[in-house]
Amino acid sequence: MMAVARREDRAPRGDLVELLVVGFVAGILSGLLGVGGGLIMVPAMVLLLGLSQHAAHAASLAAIVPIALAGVLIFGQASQVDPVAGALLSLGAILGVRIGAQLMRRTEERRLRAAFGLFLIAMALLLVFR
Amino acid sequence: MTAVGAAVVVLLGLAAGALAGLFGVGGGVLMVPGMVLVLGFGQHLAQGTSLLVIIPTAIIGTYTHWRNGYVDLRRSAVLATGGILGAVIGGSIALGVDGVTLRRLFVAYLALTGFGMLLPKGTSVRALLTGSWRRGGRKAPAAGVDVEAAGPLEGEP
Repeated sequence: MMAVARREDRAPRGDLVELLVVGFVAGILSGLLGVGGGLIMVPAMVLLLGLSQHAAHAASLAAIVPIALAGVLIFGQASQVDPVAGALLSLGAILGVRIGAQLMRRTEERRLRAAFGLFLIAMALLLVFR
Repeated sequence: MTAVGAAVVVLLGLAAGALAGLFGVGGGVLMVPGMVLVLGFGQHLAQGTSLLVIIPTAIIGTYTHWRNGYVDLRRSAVLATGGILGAVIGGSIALGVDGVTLRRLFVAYLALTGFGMLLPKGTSVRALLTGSWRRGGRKAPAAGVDVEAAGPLEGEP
């Protein structure tokens, strides 16, 4: 584990506009689809700003907290948030993420990723025909 | 909600969290379909509740990265400034369209994410556009969407 981030992982001043735009696009996606937006932010910061994966993940996760909060307030005003289900799901998810991260170290991933991809596509189809 | 119902919801969160942790995707892309298909939520309610679940899980993830010295608060604050504005706009658009339309948009996003998983790990957008991800199989991924790689960007062979 690294105690201190590499120097190039610190933000130079010139990245302001890029970061604002990346955040804005991720925010639209987050509010529109109820996701975090990390799937856009992480590769965008790696490709556009040359950040390491670790630095991009860290920046994305910290930004997701206020972005998701803004979304919750918007949906909450329209009574489209279920706080009880949210609390129970959070409880499971917090435990689940740890289990998933542990499993990741032990699995040969290539086929697993493809299977997961097919699973996501199958879910998309289920949603279409529901 | 009955005790059994509550247990089902916790288990759904557990499954979504485990898959998200295993494959390095966010929880929302799994949580939303889970709530729609298993709990029978409408698309709007599923998305709003998903955003609520993302908050504590992202806080825990941030804490882990912060402990390792990777969190640059200035960078995240700038991202979040753009992000909050985007989320207000995106959320307003979502609330302005009907559930069927919103579900179609979500399905497109879900299918794209699934398609991305079928490509070799670390395939960058550029490699995808030039077709270079086919050559050399798994030994030649360009730095891109790879969760593990911490190397420089210009790693494409």
